[in-house]
Amino acid sequence: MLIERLAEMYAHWGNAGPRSESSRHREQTISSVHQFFQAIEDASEDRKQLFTQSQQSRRKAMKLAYLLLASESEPAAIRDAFLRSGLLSEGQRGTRADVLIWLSGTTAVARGMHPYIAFLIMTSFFGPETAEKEFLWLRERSIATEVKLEEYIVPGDLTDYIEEAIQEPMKLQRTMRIAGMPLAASAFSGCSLYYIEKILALVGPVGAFILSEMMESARKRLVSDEISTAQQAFIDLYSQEKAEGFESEGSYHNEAEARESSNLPDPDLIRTATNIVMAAEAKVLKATLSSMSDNEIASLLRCIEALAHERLLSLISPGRQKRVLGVIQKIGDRPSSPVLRDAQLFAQKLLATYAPKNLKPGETLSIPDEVRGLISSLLSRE
Amino acid sequence: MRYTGTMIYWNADLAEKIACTRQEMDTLPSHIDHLIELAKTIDQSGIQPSVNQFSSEKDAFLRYGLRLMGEGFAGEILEEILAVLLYVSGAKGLEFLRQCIDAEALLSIANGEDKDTLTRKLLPYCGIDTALISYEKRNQNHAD
Repeated sequence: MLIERLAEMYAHWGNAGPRSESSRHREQTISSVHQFFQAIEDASEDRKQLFTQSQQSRRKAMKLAYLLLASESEPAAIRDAFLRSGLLSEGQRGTRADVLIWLSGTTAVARGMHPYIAFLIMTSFFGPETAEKEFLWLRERSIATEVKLEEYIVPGDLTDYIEEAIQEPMKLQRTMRIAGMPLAASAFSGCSLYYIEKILALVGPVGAFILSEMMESARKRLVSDEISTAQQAFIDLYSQEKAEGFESEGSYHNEAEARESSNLPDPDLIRTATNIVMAAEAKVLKATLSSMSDNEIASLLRCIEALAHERLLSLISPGRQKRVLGVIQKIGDRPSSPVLRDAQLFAQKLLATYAPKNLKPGETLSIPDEVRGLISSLLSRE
Repeated sequence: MRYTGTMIYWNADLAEKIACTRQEMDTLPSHIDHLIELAKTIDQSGIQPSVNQFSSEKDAFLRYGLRLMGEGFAGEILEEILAVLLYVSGAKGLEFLRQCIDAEALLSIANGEDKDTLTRKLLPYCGIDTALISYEKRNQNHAD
């Protein structure tokens, strides 16, 4: 969880401290981050080159970052080295956040993250406004830098799925995010350029650039069997997403609408109808049931919970019970009349039973308050 | 900078930064509604990476998070960036708490989580009492 991660950062590093107010200092740090980013890109796989960068750097944290990457240190060793260096101790020049920029960037590169991602992590230490500005710079750079991929096809079913998935780009976008860039890139690396172009159009220029470079790298690192495995993993994920999406189609839509369209009874309606059956006096209920047809009773049983079934059926003769159950079996899964209409029909008949034949004008019906309230609530529903 | 652990660490600085009054926390459910609407929009129409779909979003934190999502970022990378943004945030009290909620929502949407999961993740930020009342009210509205 995000809040856990944030709490861990506070526990390990304490308060980030006030950010340097000097815009000159800020500009210098951003410029150093750009330099670092460029050096990492230029060095590519040949990290030894970074020794030279280390000698030329004046910032202690940056010098340490280059040295650790040039010696191909593990992420845990990088953290230890920064802690032991004293750069994170109180009383050092600059803020703790300044040093953490280098620690996080170095760790990201050591973990094998793409330099663009390391750059985005590092610039996020400057806050959202500056981070966004730097992101836009990276975006322009991505548009200007073309990754030329060669045609390379690993036969498999993925292209069939992509052909279909492109019709529903939201689902494909979501599957790509869930899969993560390394898996997505490994899977797409075996697709034809025609499909790769369509896939890359689903993400922004920065994401497209990273994916393209990852695909290029996957083609060098992986054999075709491994690419096939990645393709299958992506297909499985997409199929799962599609199935889940189908099950919860409209999960953000109004639940009432969804219920209506699927003809599912409203739980509150069922509760009210059940309470009426349980609260009404036996003799009134018996008289009401005698005025209803077998079909109407069968429909009423759909509108009430199981505990009310027993009460209702106990008020009719065994022969009629069999006939009502026969009607229910015949109806089966066939679409039936709306539940609300059946429940309201029952409420009207019950009300009619309560009304004496010689009711005088202005005289009120002698209905228990609870039943009166429930009938009124049921009849006022739309 | 990923540290593993099963418990949430308590830290006085973070606790002070996130502290809000009851009245302030009562304003959060409407903000959560706004985020659920945003999730609904993304669920229905996706993210168009070639256009500035969210450029009208005034909140820089939320806007930047949406931009990153549009590039295809999710999971650990997005979490790391958002955690850093929160760590260095100069905001305090309600403003900071809102940023925490925004970050949690961004991650949940990017990771493809459904509306119920999103709601369950966001409401606890309102405090237990408000969360329970709000959750019950939402369920009641659905039942009606």
